[in-house]
Amino acid sequence: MLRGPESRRVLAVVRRTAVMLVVASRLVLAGPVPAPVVTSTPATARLLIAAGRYRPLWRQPVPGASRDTVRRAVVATDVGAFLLDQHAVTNDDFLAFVRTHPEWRRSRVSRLFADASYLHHWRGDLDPGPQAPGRSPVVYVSWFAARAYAAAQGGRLPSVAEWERVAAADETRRDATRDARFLTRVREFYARPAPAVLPEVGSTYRDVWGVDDMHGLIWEWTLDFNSALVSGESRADGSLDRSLFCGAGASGAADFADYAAFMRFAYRASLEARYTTAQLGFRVAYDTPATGSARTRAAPASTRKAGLP
Amino acid sequence: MTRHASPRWLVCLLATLVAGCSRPDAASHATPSTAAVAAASEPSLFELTFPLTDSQGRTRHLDELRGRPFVASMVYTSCTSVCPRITADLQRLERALPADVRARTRFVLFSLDPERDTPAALRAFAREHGLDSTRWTLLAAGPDDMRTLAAVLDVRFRPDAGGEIAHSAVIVVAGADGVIRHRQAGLGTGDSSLVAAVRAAQ
Repeated sequence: MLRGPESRRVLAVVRRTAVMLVVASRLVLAGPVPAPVVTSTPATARLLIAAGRYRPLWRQPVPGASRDTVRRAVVATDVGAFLLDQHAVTNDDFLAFVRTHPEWRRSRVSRLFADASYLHHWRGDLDPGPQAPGRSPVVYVSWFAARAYAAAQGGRLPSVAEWERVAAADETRRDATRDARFLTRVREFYARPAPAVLPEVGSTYRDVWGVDDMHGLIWEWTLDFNSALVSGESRADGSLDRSLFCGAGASGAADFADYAAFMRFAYRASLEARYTTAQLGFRVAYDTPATGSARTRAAPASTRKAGLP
Repeated sequence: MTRHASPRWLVCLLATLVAGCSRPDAASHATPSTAAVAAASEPSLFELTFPLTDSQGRTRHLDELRGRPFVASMVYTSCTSVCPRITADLQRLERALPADVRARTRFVLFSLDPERDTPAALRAFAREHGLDSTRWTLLAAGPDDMRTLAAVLDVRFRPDAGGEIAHSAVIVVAGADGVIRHRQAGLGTGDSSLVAAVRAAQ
């Protein structure tokens, strides 16, 4: 079931992080929930995610009581407003990209930027084939490829903080991470084997922001996936492990409940930028224009779907 | 939560993740702390074509390093914890090399902090650590390119609220063709493998 050095590494990361982690990722949210604002584009809608705060999983040094002491604490970070694609990049989208960016075709991509399974499930360079339906999310893409795609759209990958902020939402709430039912649904996705052919984007659920499939379809690259300073090799990041929360005795049921967020943390820690896998895709984020766009409109609530898979 | 607690869904997840990965070359990057990297058909760092700025403020490119093997790491000059130790490890390696090998080998430090690591900051760092300018090159890229470089070298990093940049200690040895021949993660893991790697990269 688990085999090879990679699986051992993933498992080691998960084990070590599981033991250390007692702080669940939480979002600190304030204010009423306005209707999401949408900018129409040919491929997908760009949804406005309002500014908020993100409580990361890790602790970082903060000044202590006296000048010479440092204590460690979870520091909530501000997440500025940004735009996020309504759904993940599809095979159709990515095909259009590799048509105009031949350096990202399967046969030409540099091994510096993608491993040998890059677009592994496509039938050919410009032929996704039956394993990669046009409206299904593209997977087997590396971080480099995802980033290049995003840049070609005038966007970027979302940060971990941005992604987690959106991923905390369910159909009606910006932060559903204290609701056991929501967390159970997310965990059930993690436990479910991936189908051989992925379903279409928009086939799971639409959250309160109007964003589709944050859980339930694929895993997604983030810009700073490599900011998780934990490793299966204790020697490698020894000095950095101190940045992580190790007070296991403080663990409680509420913390354990957000195990799903911690799983994503561990999963990202196991990745390298040129890795490609069967369930790992991405979606594109964009900085907000300095002034509001005149082309924005409210998301049609009537089109929202209810229920996770 | 105990160390042996391992919910079934977690195991299922891992099985799913791993089973979904078809990666013939997994062994080359799921490395132990220190690993020789296969030379054949490996990509070159010289494929990275973005500009960098050196400690003299000149625009440089990685392929200018072509022709001589080099040892590289990523640091930032205002760092007080890990970076001086990485630099010290590299200097210890420099001293441990036979004179002829040392004369042919370059040492390159890439900045993790494009905003603060100006040419003047790089110069001050080189002076403070007594880096021999005939062998050492300090380079800073723009923020996006720095992120690319860190990803290529698999250097993990996270800026802290206090201005520090937590990061992993990585030393790579590249051949004259820019192909990474050896990668070491972690501090002070001994010079012998690094020395051997540099000699092999000649």
